[in-house]
Amino acid sequence: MGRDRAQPEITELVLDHHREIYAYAYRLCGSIADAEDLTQTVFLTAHEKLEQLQDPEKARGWLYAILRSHFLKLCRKKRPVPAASIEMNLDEIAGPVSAPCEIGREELQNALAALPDTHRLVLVMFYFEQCTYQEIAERLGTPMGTVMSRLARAKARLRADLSRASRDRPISPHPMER
Amino acid sequence: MDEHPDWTTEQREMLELLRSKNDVEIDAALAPIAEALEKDPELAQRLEHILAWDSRLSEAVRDVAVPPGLAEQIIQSVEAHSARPMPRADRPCSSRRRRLAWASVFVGAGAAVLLIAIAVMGSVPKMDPGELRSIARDRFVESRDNNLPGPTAVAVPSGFPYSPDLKPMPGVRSYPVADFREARAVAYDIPLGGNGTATLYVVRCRSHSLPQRPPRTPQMRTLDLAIAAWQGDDVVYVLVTEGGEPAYRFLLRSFSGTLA
Repeated sequence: MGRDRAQPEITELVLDHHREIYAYAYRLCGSIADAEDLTQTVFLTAHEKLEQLQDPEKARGWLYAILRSHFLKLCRKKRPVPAASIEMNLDEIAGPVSAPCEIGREELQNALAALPDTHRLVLVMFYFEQCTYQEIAERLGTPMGTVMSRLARAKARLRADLSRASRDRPISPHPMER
Repeated sequence: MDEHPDWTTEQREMLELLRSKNDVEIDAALAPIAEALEKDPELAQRLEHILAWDSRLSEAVRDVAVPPGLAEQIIQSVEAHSARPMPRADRPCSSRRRRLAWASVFVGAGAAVLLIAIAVMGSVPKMDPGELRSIARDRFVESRDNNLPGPTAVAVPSGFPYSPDLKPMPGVRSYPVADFREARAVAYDIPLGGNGTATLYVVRCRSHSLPQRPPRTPQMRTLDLAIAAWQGDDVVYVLVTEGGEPAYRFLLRSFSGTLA
């Protein structure tokens, strides 16, 4: 497939999918600049390997796979986080579960950023991509039990952090009182 | 801590993994929670809250403001790159950085060995069997989930032998564990082929009510781990195995089967 033919296709891919690829990248990376870089890298790779996309109906999943691959490369280059600084023991973090609170965009991003990379990726695949456990295990090449264990801990930790952030949130005055 | 200390770690994990109440009928691995949900209304209410959180979080994670002009920026970038080779997304690190990284590994490993050697001279703490298993599980999960590299070519202090009750396996790596509460410990990482990994913690401590040999069935289980502790000569062994009971039994010398 020549470049001249591929060019309009990549443009179409960008226009159709850049929003969700950016949103996915932002939830994984946690910063606007990193998410923009990662989104751009995804489409540059897609452009180079466009002939691999046999079925245009599967473009979204293909782009997600490219994104995950680049994100995991970035994670491997990072210094490992000392395990002791991250409480991921389910018995310790699984406190009482109340009805969900209002979730602020920044609070959600902070809570996601506090998770280890491996847990955050599994969580975003679960909530964002709506993957099944088997799909997550297959796409990451990780045993299913490990996926389930990571997901259970990540969910409990995320809820605990969001509940705490909600309790600590200053109460804004009623509009009539301003 | 939870308001219900009687709920097991396995029950908490399963509850987190249900996508709906019907999952217990669909997924055999989650079936054991069905009975607990029938009997315990508080557990059922906890599930309802978890599902409500899941629904709200699924919406919230997709709610991201996209910077204006991003599509145009990407298209321009693609056009600019289409005439020349694609840049590598990940450049290899410089040889100086690599040398520094290796130096840090060796200095760190040396310090760990020295600390262990000094500490071995100290007193031997007493530890509860449940505490031993929980610490081993936490160390294993932390190491696995954070992809912490196990040190290689590190001298292990004497007095922490591999258990004679376990099969000798190829590719086993051993290294001192810096943080096992007050006890000195050495870990043996045991690869299980394509079936995950296991770690044997050899802990210098005193304990009670432990069997003299590895038990036939593990004393503690989570969704993906099987954990057992037993008494050796002067040390306690704690084995954490990925892949549950089949992988655990496979490692026992008394078990002659193969790992599927």
